[in-house]
Amino acid sequence: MGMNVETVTTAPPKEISPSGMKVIWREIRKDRMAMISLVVLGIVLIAVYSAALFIDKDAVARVDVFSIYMDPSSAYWLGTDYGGRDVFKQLIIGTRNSFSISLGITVLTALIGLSAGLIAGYFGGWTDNIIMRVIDFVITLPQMMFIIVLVTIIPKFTVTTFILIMTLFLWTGKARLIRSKVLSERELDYVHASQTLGTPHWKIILYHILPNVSSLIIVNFTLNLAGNIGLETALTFLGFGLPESTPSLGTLIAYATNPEVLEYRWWIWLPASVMILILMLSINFIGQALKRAGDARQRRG
Amino acid sequence: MTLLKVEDLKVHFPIRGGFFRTVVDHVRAVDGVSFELEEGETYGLVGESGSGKSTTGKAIVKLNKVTSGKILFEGQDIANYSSRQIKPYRRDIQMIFQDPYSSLNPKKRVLDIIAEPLRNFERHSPGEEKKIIQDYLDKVGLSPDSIYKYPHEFSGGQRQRIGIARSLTLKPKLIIADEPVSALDVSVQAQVLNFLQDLQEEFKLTYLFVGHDLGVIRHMCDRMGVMYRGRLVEEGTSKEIYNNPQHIYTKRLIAAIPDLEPSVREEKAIARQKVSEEYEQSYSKYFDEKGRAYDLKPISTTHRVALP
Amino acid sequence: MFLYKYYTNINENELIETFFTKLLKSSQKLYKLKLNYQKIIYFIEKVVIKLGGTSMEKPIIQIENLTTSFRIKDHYHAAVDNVSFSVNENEIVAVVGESGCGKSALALSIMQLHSKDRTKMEGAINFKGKNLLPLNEAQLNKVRGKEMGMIFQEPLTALNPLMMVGKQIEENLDYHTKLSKEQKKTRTLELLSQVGIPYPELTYKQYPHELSGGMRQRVMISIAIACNPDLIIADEPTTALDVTIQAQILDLLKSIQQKTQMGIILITHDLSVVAEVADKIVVMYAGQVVETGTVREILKNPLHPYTKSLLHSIPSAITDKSRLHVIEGIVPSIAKMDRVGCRFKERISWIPEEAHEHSPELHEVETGHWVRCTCYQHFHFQDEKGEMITHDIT
Repeated sequence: MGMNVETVTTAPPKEISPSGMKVIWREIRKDRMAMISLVVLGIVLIAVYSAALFIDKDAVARVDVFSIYMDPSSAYWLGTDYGGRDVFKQLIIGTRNSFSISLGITVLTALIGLSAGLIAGYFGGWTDNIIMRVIDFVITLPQMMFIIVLVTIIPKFTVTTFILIMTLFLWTGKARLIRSKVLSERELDYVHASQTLGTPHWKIILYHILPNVSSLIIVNFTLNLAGNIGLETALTFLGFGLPESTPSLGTLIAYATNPEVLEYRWWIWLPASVMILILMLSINFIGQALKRAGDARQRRG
Repeated sequence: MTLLKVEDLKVHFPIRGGFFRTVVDHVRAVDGVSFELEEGETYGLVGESGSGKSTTGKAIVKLNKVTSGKILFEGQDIANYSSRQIKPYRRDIQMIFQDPYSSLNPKKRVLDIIAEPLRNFERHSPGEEKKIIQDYLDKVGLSPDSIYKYPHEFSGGQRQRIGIARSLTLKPKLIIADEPVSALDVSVQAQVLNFLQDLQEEFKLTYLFVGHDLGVIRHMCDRMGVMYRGRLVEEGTSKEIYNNPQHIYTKRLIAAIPDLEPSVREEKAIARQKVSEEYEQSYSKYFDEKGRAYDLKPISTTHRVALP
Repeated sequence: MFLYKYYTNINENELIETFFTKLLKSSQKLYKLKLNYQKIIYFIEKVVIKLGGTSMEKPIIQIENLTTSFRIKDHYHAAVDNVSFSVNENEIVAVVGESGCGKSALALSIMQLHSKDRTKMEGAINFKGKNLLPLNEAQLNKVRGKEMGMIFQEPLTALNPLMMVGKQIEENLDYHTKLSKEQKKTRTLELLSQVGIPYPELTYKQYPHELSGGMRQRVMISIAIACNPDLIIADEPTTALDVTIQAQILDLLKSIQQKTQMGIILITHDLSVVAEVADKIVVMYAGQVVETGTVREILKNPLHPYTKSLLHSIPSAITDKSRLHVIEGIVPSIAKMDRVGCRFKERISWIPEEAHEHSPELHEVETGHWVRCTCYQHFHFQDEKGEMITHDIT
């Protein structure tokens, strides 16, 4: 049992056990729906984001009285709406906006919910109590009404304020979810061991507990992303989301409230609905694959 | 030299009840325990579940809050130290945990797991660190290229050995082993116990061995203390406790140990019956009205029994 | 006594004293005789077996060539590999092995509790003359719980946490018997007191989490014996319990067996528990039976290298602080195991290849004592010299 000096400089063995990312990738590859979704999503997003760079936003928003309700043609690929605006360009910018908004909301809620959940779960006691009571309070508030009120009150209503308002109400679910996982992780021996080894609390939270909660976070994040797109669309459809100057998928679908558009000018709202369907479904399938990757028993790979 | 001296240690957990969650009562997990550890010896803390032995061990490592009493480590009372004050002592007192499956972070590689204490207290370059860790892995009988593997690739016994390597990196003086082999199979137990003995010699360690398997404790420990409901009921060398148990609880415990000799089955069953009757009859003699054991009184230089 | 006194003029007190001393002496003699009784019986047993006669055996269950395979990534791997043994009335057969040997899989296989879509079972389980393997769920459910009972390892998870324990016992009676409500309740209380629970009426109304580990295990035992089964399978019943409670539970099982003459299959890894209660022992390694025989025989004269190594590794068997024996290597995983040849080969690498059989069979080295593979003849521990053991192998 002597010390072997030569072993110091050996390179890591070829068969390193797969890290988390590799396991996820393997699982997505094995699931055909998820793979297709990933590809489709990738294509759509890349197309939309890059095309949006070339489109002049103001030109899209400008009302052109002469081109009202034109049918699809080579000049306007999906025709125009009642303001004479190019529907196709709106679709592209709208998709980009919807996705960005949803991403923004998801990221912000993730950050806030994660921090709250980690701190409440790890420290317990009074900290936990206070945070939980705050969460309880926020949950009991009538969400829709508050959003409507806030939307009406706030003077300068932009995309950012919209994101912030939504975040205000949506972080609680995540916080609770993470807190419950942290509570169970915290009792495991490896956390005790780290404490006896002199590791400070913040290090334990970030480097020990967070990686073990990560599978939960990733899945939740992905599924939330899909959900938030729908949420934003719904609100805009009802009229409490973005104004028409900022096109989104919701605004396009909102045109369908007009029965004439609904029946005769389907090219205004139908592509938008299909786009929503594609986005949400593909994100969902990827999310399912991720969920399976996290649970070793259900893995197909 | 006395390395560790525990004086009247009490760890009480509050029970909250009522509408305002006020404290109504306490769970007296550890209720007045006193013992001493000399440098280099192995002391066994024996008891059944609920006796408070694990809580005592954890209290010494400051994983449980001490309600009252003293924990004198090399003369210093660390019972009420804050986490900042206790940090330097973490190098000297380490713990080996019971469950090999939850004591290692499943998302970390072995390298990071064992290097954690090193990174907390010392500064080493990555190459140096690797060398130190491979050295320790060698000492516990694992191959050096295990450092890039994850815990789930190892068996229970191997994981326990990784845990032992982790606790050794800071060169502690006292190691509290909380049932380190209970979750392992017999043949693997043997391996881990052998390693613990070798390491004790090489690193001049003192062990506080907490457990309920009397066979293992007898094999490993020089002296042992028997705990029941938070108090010590008997203390002595392994030989004294096994061959001459004085307290009725100790007698019952010893009588219950199954023997590997099948022909003494009948005798043992009768002996158990006798001891159990004696226990019922003499209960009030050995325990006071509240069910607590009395304080330990020495009946020889090494043997102490809880008598009224 | 009166007349005696009259005639011999002895003081009455002295008479009583002598009377009781005589009584004490005779009871002491009887006591010693009782202890020797066991040894006498054992001796007679051995003689009878040696003379070629079988002892009064009435097998309750005969497991023949049972093979249970699990599907892992589209291939079936046998966790229980061609296992055969039988259990007679009033007999405790202990199945011993460490984790990975297949004993828990065996326990669940006998009751056919594995999920059907991932398991394949072959062989025969002859329970009271009838093969259970081809039966469907409905037919099996008539046997399970009624004629065959099971005690699980972890009582907290095996009992329904949301149901009163009394009701859980009644559930078993409900399914298998046609008793009325009052009769069921009476029987339940009777069972609870039979397993040694001090206040049956109170315990009836309690929930599993309110009881201690020992009490929960007793409740499980009462569920298992509720319909007076002929066979009980106990899967590590005392592993989760303290040593004093363990002793009580084992005594309890033995006393119940005395009354009902049922057979017990005791699955455990603790050899001292086996020594305490079992009659026969079946040692398993890597899914196969490697040694089987009576407990006295195996513990006195273990032959298979695995059994020998195991006995050497137990700390209580050695009284000083010497080193424990360590078995090199690890238990093979069922997916990656080499199924040809002696499966214990790699862990005793100092024994030459030729000592092992190419496809190891079970050999009856003495009546009732079977060992797998011929390597036992040449086996010795690394630190000692071995002599070859010869037997007329059939």
